[in-house]
Amino acid sequence: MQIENLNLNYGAVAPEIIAAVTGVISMLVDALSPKGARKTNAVISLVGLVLALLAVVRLEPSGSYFGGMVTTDPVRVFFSVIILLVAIIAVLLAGQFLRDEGLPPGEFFTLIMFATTGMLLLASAGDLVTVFLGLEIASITTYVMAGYRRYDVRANESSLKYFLLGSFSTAFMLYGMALTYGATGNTNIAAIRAIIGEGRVEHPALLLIGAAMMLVGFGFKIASAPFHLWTPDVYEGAPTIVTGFMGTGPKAAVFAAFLRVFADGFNVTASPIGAQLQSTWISAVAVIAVLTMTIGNVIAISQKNIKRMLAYSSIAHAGYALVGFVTGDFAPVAFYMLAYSIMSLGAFAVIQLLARAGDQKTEIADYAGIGFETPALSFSLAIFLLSLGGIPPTAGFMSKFFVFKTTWDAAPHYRWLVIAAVVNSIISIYYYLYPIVVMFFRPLAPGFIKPRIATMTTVALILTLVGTFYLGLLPNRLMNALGQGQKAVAIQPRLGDR
Amino acid sequence: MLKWITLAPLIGALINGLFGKRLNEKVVGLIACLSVGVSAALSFMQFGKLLSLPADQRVITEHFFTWIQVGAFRADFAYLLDPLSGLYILFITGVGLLIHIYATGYMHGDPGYYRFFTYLNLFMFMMLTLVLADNLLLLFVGWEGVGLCSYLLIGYYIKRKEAGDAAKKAFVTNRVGDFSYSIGMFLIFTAFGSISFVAKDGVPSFLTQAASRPVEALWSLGLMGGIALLLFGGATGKSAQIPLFVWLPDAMAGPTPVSALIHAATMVTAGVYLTARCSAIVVKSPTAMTVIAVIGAATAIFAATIGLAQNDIKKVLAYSTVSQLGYMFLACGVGAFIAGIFHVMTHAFFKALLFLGSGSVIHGMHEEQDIRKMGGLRKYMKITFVTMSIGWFAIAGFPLLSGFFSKDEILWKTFTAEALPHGWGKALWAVAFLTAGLTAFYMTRMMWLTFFGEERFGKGHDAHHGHGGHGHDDHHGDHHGDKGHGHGTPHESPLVMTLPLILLAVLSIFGGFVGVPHALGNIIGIHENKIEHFLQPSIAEFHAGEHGAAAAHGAAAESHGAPAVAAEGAAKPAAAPAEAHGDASTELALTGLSVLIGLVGIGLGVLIYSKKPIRHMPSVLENKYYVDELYETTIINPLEETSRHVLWKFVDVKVIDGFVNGVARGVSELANLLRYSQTGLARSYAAVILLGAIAVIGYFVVKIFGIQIGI
Amino acid sequence: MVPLSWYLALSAVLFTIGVVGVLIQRNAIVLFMCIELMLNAVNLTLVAFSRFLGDVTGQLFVFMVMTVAAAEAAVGLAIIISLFRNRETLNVDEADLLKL
Repeated sequence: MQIENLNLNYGAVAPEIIAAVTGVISMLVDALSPKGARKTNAVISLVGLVLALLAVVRLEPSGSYFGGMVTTDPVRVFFSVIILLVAIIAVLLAGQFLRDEGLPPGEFFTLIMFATTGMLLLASAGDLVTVFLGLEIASITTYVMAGYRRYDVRANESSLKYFLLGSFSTAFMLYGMALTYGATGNTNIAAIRAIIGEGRVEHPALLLIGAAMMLVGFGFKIASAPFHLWTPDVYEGAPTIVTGFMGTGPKAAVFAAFLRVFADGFNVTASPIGAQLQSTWISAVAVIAVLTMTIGNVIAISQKNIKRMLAYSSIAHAGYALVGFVTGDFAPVAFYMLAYSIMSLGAFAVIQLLARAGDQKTEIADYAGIGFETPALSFSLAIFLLSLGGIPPTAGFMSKFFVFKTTWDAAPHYRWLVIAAVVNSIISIYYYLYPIVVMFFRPLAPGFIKPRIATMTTVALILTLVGTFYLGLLPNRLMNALGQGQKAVAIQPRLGDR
Repeated sequence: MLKWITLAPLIGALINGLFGKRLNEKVVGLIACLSVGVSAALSFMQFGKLLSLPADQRVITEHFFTWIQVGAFRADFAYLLDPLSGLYILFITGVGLLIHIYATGYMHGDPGYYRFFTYLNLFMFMMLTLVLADNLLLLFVGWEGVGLCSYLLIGYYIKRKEAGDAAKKAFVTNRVGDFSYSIGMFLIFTAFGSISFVAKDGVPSFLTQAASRPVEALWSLGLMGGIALLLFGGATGKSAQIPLFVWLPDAMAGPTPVSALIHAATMVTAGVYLTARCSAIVVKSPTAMTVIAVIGAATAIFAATIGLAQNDIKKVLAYSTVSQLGYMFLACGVGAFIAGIFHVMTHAFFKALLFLGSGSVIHGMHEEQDIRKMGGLRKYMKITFVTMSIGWFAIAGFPLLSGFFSKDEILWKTFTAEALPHGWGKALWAVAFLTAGLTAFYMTRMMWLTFFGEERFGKGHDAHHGHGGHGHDDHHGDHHGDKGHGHGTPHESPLVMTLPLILLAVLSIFGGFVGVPHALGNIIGIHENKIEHFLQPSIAEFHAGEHGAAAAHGAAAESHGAPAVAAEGAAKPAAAPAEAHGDASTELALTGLSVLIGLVGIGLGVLIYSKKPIRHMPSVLENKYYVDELYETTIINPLEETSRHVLWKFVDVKVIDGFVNGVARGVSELANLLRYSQTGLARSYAAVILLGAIAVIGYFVVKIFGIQIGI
Repeated sequence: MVPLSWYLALSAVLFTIGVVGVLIQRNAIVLFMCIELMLNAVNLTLVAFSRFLGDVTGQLFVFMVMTVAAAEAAVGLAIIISLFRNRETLNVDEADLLKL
């Protein structure tokens, strides 16, 4: 690797740099202001995130920088936008959460910004080293966020479990990366792709085992079965807003890296080993997808706690998104994650408001009869739930439709997978409906106090609602953009193919 | 222009939904009625415009935007006005407007007044979208939308558990039907590459394409038959046919105007609309037609017998609705789609009338719904009595009233059905004929117990609380308040309520004259069946085709009319007179018979119930053949049990966990781990992760044996 | 020279010891040390490959892993401490409020 080939282009990492610097600034501001700076930090974070968003939009359409460590392609751009949107909504919601709970105000924004840095890095990673780095930055910050309510035993437990199991799975992922490195002599994803394509793999067995272990690592981070067990516990114990954040942003970012490593790096059929690897991982992902959505949906039916129910729902949604993997095409997965992030964050935002300080009211029974007591919140929640259940004309319907349709057309061998997914989404409607029935058709539970909704929270709710309907009613522009992105991926010269 | 037909009620719903809480009751009612009024006026204008076009070009389309375009799949937000949807929007907005006006009086004083009208307007929007949609997906949006409004309105009285349960039941039952619908839609797209009712991007509509397919053999289930049955499966949910009819009677827990609008006149006929709209597909499969006809006839008689034994005035009407919907599907099944649609229209008139009348009775009786506690009401509520009597005679098939013509047409078409296996048409005719008699009988029972005989109210001890099982409209909680029940004589309802009754009564009397059957028409001097002539371009007809014996009926004349249904009826006018000559006498004889059975039903009813109004009916009928209980024990309970005990507790807790523990035993102290037989433990999660990893790696390793081993 | 396979075998054994440790240990700190052992086993693999491939990337990767592991340790210990403050135990099996 020659120094002149490094292509040090700081503009190409501007979004990451902006996010990291904003994180540092908000940390300093918090440290220097005696009473904590909730509002100032929220504003700083928002400005930083919007700047980062602008930087993402202004990225060159494609390129490979820093010796292939960072790469720009439609996957990066699209997923960076998802990540930043999630972060913006999380910051909007954080203000009220921190005030209502009386938690230390400043650090939370710092954590969000650092997590965002990690996620952005993950989405732009062109090298296994960067994947690892991004993954860990995002994970370590979310471990802390899960336990942000320090005095709460449940939050402690959530954080501990997440931390232990997360590190455990990271070790697998890392081992997989090491073996892949050993097999191909390279950590650059594009280079690995080229080597596999030319059949120059010295130790095919190591490559396959390495790929399997990375699959385990990614499988854990996106909460797919059988690596999903941590999800319900962690989601239930963490503060609701953190649950919403880590169920969407990091998950989307991991999907981006997952796509780049598997749907790009390991998706060559030019050589026997490449074909072998490709058919193996695709079939494994298909099985995992079915297992994931089935377990998620079936267990969700018997849940009484809404956060836990949505945790299982989030498992199921990871399964639906995985369906798109068998096409080897990023567009359906990307669209799915955008839609899922928006509706899921919206649902958690409402739950956060209804749960009151300390997450006291998260049982579905607590929602009895609130339908018309607080119509704005209950109707919003109903819309988000229906969208999660995939009922038109919402984002959830359109994203499922997009994934299933593309898979049906592009992968005739995996039509059974689409059928399984459709059956699953029908089963899922049952439990998404349950809270709605409770909210609107049950007598009011005693002791209900109408929550106060802060301005920033309102903005976040409106954003998610508009997004849910926009993607459901007018998805064409985005789909067309994604379609062109697809083509761009196909014709883009691979800078790593040295 | 078409968009304003649907947007007007949506705007009304938005205004009332957002600001209704702060508005005066009168303003809310005015906004709601006005928005529907605008919609109705526009509908009539557009309908006039449609009529002014030449018969084979009666299509008005309006494109708003392309909704989804993925590959070849295209669905638009676009409306299509053709004779079929034209007729539907006429009676939806017309009857809808009357019911809105009625509701302003009926819901007076209700705390949720604005909420009620918000939903009702929203419903109008969804229903109009359903019928105006130019493709199956947009139709499905309306389909789901009316469902949603229906659940919201069934569950309107939030504080009552039965309302909530009924809403839930309606939702779950309809999901089963929707599943069928979506698969049907999917199959249509796979088979034809289009889900639109009109040609798009040079792709002809799936209806046009279906019209050129051969007719499938009887008792074989080809693609067309499969699609037709799946769509019909969707229709059974929405239109309450066997086996998915259970939700409709429970839906009476909603306020009475809702029952009239949604659960009698409009939404429940959406299934008939769907079947008629896709008639080009249905007629290609005699198998599907037979199934539809049999289920329709079975539902008709089944619900009619249950109707015999109900004591709640609204429940009687509910089962009557199910039964009449059965008639409509019977018509579709025998290929008489036009007769079915005609019956949809007349039924909308007289059933809305009957429901609104029952609402007036309930209102006048201070929220009493049990007909055993009424009697002699004709003295107190003259207008209600007279108008309801018209509805009663119309549904019983009294000559020259609207129900008479449409029912007679269905009976005749059933008798002469060509699509069904030989002899089945006559058998189904007999069933439908018997049902007509039963209908007349139970309606007479209901009317007699309500309006005639001795007055049984006022003296009953605790008329109100004795029958918690029935749905009472108790929205007058604070309005009537201290008056309570038992005292206070029944009174006639205010003008806003009786005026719609009168108008609907007029429609029920004269509405039938647009569709006088040929044989009868020749006698009374109306020679043209206007509705048949009008609807023909939208509807496909059954032609036995190559395999059938009845090929003499005329080869399919393929025309490519723009609404995409092959106007095969082009051959019809030529064939019709010949048919009329040959069968006119049979037809008239049958008409005579059906008039007779209607009169016999009424007569028997009067005879029996004037002697002794309260009779014990067979308990199997009173309990609705135990269908609810059957579903409860065979489907719902096992499902819940399976989820709770087998899948969750057993599979997740015992199997997965037990397995994990079993493996962990190998590496750890046996005794120690046995304690952790429940999850929540980070380490057992780690063990599962390890197991999963071993499985994935193992799978990859097994695959390695397919290639050269590297190390 | 010691062949590559020996290094790989050693690191696989270390990794397995780490995995088994995670499964059988109850003390949060020891459990965490087992995870560190797994990471270091991977480091050994990386260094070995790096040496035998004559490529420096593997060693760079190890530096990254070490840095990240340090950060992870800081956060992990903080989490364990906050749990200990509330529950006065280091036994991870007693953290089982959230289940089923």
